[in-house]
Amino acid sequence: MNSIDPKFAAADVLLRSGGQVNRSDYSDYEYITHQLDELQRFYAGYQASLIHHPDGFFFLHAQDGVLPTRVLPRSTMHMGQFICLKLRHPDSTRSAGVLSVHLIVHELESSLPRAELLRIYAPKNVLAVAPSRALDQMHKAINELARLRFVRKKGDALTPLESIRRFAELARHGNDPDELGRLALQARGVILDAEDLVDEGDPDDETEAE
Amino acid sequence: MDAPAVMEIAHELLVHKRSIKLESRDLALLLLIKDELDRKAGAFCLTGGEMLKLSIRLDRLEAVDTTKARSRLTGSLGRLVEFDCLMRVDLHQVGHVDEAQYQLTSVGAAWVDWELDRARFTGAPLVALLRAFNTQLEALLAALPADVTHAIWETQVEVPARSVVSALLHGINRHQARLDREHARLRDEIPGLLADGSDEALGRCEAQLREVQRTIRDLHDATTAYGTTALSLVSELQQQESRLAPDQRICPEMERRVLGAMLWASQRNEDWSRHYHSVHQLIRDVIRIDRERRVTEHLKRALQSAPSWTLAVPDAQRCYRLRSDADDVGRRTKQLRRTRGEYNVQEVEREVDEFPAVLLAIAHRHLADGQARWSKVLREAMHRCDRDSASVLRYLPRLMAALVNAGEVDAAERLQVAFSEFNLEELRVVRR
Repeated sequence: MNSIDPKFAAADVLLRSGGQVNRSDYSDYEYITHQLDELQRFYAGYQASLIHHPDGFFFLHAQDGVLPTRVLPRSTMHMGQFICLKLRHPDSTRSAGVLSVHLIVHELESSLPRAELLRIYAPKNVLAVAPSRALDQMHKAINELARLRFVRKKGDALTPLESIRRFAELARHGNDPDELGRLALQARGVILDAEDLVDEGDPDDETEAE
Repeated sequence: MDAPAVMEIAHELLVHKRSIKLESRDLALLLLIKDELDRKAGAFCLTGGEMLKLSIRLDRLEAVDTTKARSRLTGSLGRLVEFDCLMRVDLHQVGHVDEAQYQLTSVGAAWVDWELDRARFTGAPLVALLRAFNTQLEALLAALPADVTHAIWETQVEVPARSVVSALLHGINRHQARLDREHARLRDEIPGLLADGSDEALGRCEAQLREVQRTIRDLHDATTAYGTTALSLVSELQQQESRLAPDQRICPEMERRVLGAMLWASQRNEDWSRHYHSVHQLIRDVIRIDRERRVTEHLKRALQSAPSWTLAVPDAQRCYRLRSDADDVGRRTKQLRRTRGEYNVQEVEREVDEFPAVLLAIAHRHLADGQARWSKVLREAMHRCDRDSASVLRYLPRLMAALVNAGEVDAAERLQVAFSEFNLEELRVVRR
């Protein structure tokens, strides 16, 4: 591994900022695949681990290490799970797995009771501004997922990448993992029982409820 | 079959005045009979009662009175039996008409197979069109004398070539529209098969996908091969055209059509590869692994309330990657070529127009020197970007807005300045 290699710089910046490296990121994916052992040793120095997920993609797990970390806000988690669910429906094949941002938001709005939707996407807002705030948060959540490379967004077209399956990790364990399952999930950066943590990562909620 | 036997049969046909005269309804009934037999695996014949049900289905399709279905069926059965497409196989042949049994003959079955083959759409017509186009171009080139003149070019090449291009265009458009319609129908059918989830449905889905994928790949390969030949033939003709009829540009038109057909096949190949990949991914990761849809159900349940878990991700300070190719970013962009639904958007690359930036830079430079006349700014920008006056008209409002915002307008300066295509009233702006 050569740390002045531009490919290293590209992959390193992406991994350190929480990005997932999917197969469709040809250049980064190829570089990490070839340099996996050395990169794992390199990140071990930061007390972080470069994880090769069973579904094929790579990401950096840096909790309790030297690198700063953050947790994904509740809105991003919910949106990630919703996109993951949409992708499991056979209708997603009509458009070759490409979803529409507009339709995702619209379907999400109609799939949950309004009060619950506001509790997830605009928990600290007064009722008058909460609906528009919730809509903003949905779009922000999608942008956040795109920034972390869980999805690729181009205009209204949203292409979920294989790393979006991280949002189904808990569902794979029936939403209630046993002790072994919990350990396996925690090793992949999952934080369970995180009701108190999930709002910490949402810096945009400035309007406090009355 | 030897020759005398053939002549003997031909003679017999003529002597006995044998012919086949079937109505469209008879043929449609034949198709439904075959379909019904295929559904009832192992059955080889249908009863008159079952035929009546099929006939009523046809009546509904034709939107005609179903009370006369029986008489229409009797007519159809009579003709189909007479012309050996159906055979009555019940032993007594005297029972009630509903109990009579009919079987498809080899003639009837062959006709249905032929009709089904015809309906099963393949890329063959597009390849045939290009092949015919190449043959016609080769014939045009071969017939061209060595000392070809302008008159010969016009009569022997240009007129036939225009007709060939017109036929090619018409054929290609019709074919493409039909293939796209057929594939759109398949795309709509596949989610139903996947939702069914049974091994049989998945098998049918995979078989259909494989067939379309193979057809499209073959079409793409053949179109590329014949298209390349066509382009080389057009190129030969183009050399003559540029010498004999530089104003009559039929060859670029032909070239564009052929390239269009090649691009279309290539685009469909990409679209179907993506679709094929997405369906197989769903089969592999969801349908086969999660047969009971447990994960899906758990996800649905989890979505009903706020998530109680989250993911920890590294959040190191951003370190921007300085790219050496950053200068090229934004100089080229993509533009929709044509849309046919979300899944097959076609894009072509187009150059970003740099003229407005050049125009504004010159305007600001002139203003920095004290004053700017927009006619001078425009001329300088046209000269620098090698643009004619007609193509720059649309930038004038932007230039006017930039100048007016940046300086003081000289209201006394109202001269008319002549450009080759138009006259422009001068706008002089002085520095504030």
